[in-house]
Amino acid sequence: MVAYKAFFKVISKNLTVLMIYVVVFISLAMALANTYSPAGEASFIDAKVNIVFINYDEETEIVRGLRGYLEKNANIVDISDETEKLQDALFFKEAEYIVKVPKGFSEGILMGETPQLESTAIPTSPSRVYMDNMLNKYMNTVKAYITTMGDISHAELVRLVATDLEEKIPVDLIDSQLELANNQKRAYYFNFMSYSIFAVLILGVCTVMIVFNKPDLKKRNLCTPVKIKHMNLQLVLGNISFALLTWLVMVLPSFILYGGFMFTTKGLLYLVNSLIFTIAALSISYLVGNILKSRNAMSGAANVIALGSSFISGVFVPQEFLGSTVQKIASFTPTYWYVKSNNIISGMESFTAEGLRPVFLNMLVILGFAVAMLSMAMVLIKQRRVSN
Amino acid sequence: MVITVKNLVKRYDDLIALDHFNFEVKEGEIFGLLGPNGSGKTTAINCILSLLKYDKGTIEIYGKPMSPDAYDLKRNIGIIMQNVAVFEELNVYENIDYFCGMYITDKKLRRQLVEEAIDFVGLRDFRKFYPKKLSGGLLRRLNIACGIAHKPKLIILDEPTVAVDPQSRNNILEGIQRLNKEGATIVYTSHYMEEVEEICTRIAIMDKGRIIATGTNDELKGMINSGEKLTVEVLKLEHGILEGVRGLPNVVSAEFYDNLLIVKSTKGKNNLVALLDYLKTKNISVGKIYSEPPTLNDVFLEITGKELRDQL
Amino acid sequence: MFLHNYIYRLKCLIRDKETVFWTMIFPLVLATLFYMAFSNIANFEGFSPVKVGIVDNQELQENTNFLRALASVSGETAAADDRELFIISYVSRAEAEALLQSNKISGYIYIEEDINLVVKHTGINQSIIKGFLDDFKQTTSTVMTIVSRNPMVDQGLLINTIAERREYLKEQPIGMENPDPMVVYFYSLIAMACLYGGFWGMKEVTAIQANQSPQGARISLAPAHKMKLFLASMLAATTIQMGIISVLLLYMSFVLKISFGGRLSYIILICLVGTITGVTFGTFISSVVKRGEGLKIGILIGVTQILSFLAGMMYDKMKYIVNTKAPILGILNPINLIADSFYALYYYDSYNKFFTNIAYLCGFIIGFSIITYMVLRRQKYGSI
Repeated sequence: MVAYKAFFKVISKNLTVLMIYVVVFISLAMALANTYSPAGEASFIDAKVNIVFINYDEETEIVRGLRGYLEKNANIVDISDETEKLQDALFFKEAEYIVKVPKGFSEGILMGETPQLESTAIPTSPSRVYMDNMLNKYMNTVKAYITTMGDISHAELVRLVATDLEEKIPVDLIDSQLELANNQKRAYYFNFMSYSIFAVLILGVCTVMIVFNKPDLKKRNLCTPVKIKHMNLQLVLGNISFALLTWLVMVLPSFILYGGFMFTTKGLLYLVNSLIFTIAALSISYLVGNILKSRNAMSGAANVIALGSSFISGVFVPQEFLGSTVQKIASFTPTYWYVKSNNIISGMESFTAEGLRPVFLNMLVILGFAVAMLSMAMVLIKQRRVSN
Repeated sequence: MVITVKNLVKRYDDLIALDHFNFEVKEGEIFGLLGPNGSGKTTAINCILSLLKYDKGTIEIYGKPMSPDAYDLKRNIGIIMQNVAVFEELNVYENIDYFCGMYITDKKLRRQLVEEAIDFVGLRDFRKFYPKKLSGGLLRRLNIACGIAHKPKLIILDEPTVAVDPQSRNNILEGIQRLNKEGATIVYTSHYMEEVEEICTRIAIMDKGRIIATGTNDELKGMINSGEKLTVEVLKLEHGILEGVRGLPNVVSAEFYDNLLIVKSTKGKNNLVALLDYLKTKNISVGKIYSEPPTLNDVFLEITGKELRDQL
Repeated sequence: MFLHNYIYRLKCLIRDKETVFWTMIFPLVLATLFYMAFSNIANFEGFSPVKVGIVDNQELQENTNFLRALASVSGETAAADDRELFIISYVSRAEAEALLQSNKISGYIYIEEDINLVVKHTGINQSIIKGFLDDFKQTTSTVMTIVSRNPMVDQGLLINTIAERREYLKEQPIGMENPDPMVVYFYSLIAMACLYGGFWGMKEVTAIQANQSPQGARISLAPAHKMKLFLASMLAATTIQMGIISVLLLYMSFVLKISFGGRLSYIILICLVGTITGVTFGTFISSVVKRGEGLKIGILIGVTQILSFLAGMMYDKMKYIVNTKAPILGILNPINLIADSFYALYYYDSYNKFFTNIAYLCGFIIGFSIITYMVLRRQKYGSI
């Protein structure tokens, strides 16, 4: 086991570097899992959106009514009407929506015309649709009263509209919102872990393999009476030990963050899934480690492989938002199957054999990746030896 | 004086690498700095070149103090470092041109100088090769070409022949002598005494950070007591004879093993005759006889009590 | 001499093919993957009708207005008009509960005096149901008020005016372009690529420092001012990284059609400033961390990852969290500053934001350079 020991000596020589990677990626995973707000959370909106209300019209009853309505259903923030200030406000999310009442708006409404409010928001933000609907609803209700009750006083009109729009239906929420958010955060931590583990393994394994693959050292190693097979086996063993350690360190925060949850069936499923993913990530890292020659190249490779596969596999962008072509491409990475399993696990409430089947099938796919990549690495090593 | 070093002291924490180190190099010499591994040769060179900080002492080159920004001095120095200092990314021609370009700005002149340097070290067939593809000896030659292409007045070579095949070594040593003939002053460090004996006009022997002797080859050998080494092949040496030999005048030591009687004696004219006479009186038949003049190793051995060569 | 050194340094860097390959290929591949991942989000209109359960009881059957409203947004008539909002199952309360538990429906509605909605958790689908019900209730209230106040109202007019939904909103773009949050990812990717210029800066310090490489020791002995040599080295490093960034920019704007707001000279300026920041960042790390190539690279990668993360490369909202909770972190983060400069060009009419960011970046460049200079200036070493 000389090579195995040497492997760990090289590791310990590079421990500072490896620790940097581990610490950086763990803190990223923890930071992200804690700040992550699941998509659509803000959409059951009784949460109020920060908006800016700017009036170029006279202080009419209609304008006052509209402002009063918005004050009740949103937070009006006070930002002066200068383009750059408003841009800043949107940019830094001090306000998510700006509405401007143009001159002559009230008069137009009273005449039965359709003057338009000017709205500005970040296009894809969910609050935009919500605010658009809110404003349109208000104005349409105003219109309904004006067309059907032409002689109504403006103050009365505004009061009636306000009463109508206060009507809301009661909602029963079965699950606790907190539990739901926690559930999604846990899934997110484990999804993000695929990026961390992948990156640390590529960087770590490459750091060590580049040392062992230095031409002089390699030649010297080839001259020793240790069989090449044994030599490689010991290196693979060393890598496996390193990967297991990394995995342990990576899942440790989940025990700290989520405590007893990790000992439930769900928690254990996450753990098993991540362990299996670690194996696949390791065998890819081993292949990469045998291809690369310089440490500068290493970071590029880690970024392309770890960050790239995470992006198309739904670690950062939820899988359901990805197009079908992207998903097809992503299915050639183990990350895709790993994230898919995590999402299934996250949504599970009872654990039946039938329900767990897709999870286990995904695990098999991930293991398939591991075997394929490892054999590629072995073929590569063998071929190199012959050609050199 | 080309180089004057006075009272140089350099410490690495507890280790004193240079201990009141003094030496001078004169114009036109091939000055050899000889010492075993770890005696401080490279440290001395690095201090002289102002690469290393030192604790005490003065260093002057051509009468001017040497400093990191003494560019006028640097312009006249060629340096060949112990570690090959070439760029993996540049080929032979480019490496030489790169370093030469630090000294010579005129492109036409530079091209000519680079070509000359390539011929000088015999790398013409390899001018497009990258360092990775060169053998150890050729790499050393490239290293030398990079150091001398700008035709410096003072050339410092720090162990240029370490791990070099005999052919490249001869090429290098001849080259050094040629450069010297063309007018360059040479400082040459090595732990191979044969090389130093062969090419150097003046030699300083150092050990443990000190210069322990300086002089020409002959002067150094004249300094020590052992004048010559006599080796006599005898079949058998009876008891008491060895003591008898040791009792002869001028004899410093006498050993007998493997049928060889080795006698070292101080300077004297009749040492060989006296020994043979003595053996004759004892009726000892003598086979082959060699007489060798003292080597630098003997000089080193006598001063420090240990061998200069690497212990094998 | 300067030119001589510059050209040779450039040669050395360009021939380090592996590093060139990866520093060039990684932002290109990542940009492509980002593009693929986001292309679908931008036009995520792929809305499918929400499955909803309705408890079929007497009160439901009596509420004809509600049934009519439901019919207008579900079933075949609605589907034909492309207004299909719901796929409705009329079930018993117990069945509805079971369907909800097994996630077969997003929520169910039952009527007991009032209209009630039961959901398991919140989400987009649930919000759609609630929005529809609120709207129905509010409209009902309006109709009731009108009828009670003006019993003589023309029924046809009332129905028409209620059914007719007018658009009272006009979208007004705020700046040069309609802000697209996805560009944040691409801009921070460029910023990250700029900072990867640090690899070249690092290499240059190693190549010139006598205590870091034999070549460095050799160069220290040349009769040239070290700072002049180093300036040439830096220029070479900047040149090659600028080349890489230009390829990236061309690829992003012509192949991926990412918008940069189209003020070319300013874009070149920010790329240049960003690249120099990256290169000096590398020289800074390399001169402060004396030994161990691995350690230096580790620090460069680690720091870059954290900074990109904080600048929103992995999660765009991170940028806002930083800006609202700890704005100083945004200013101390060169990647964020570079990305913001791009964003400022794209989004703001005026150049204030842009030049503020550039000024901060110049501060970084000066800081990194001064520290590098202090270390490099020392030309004699305790040990080599």
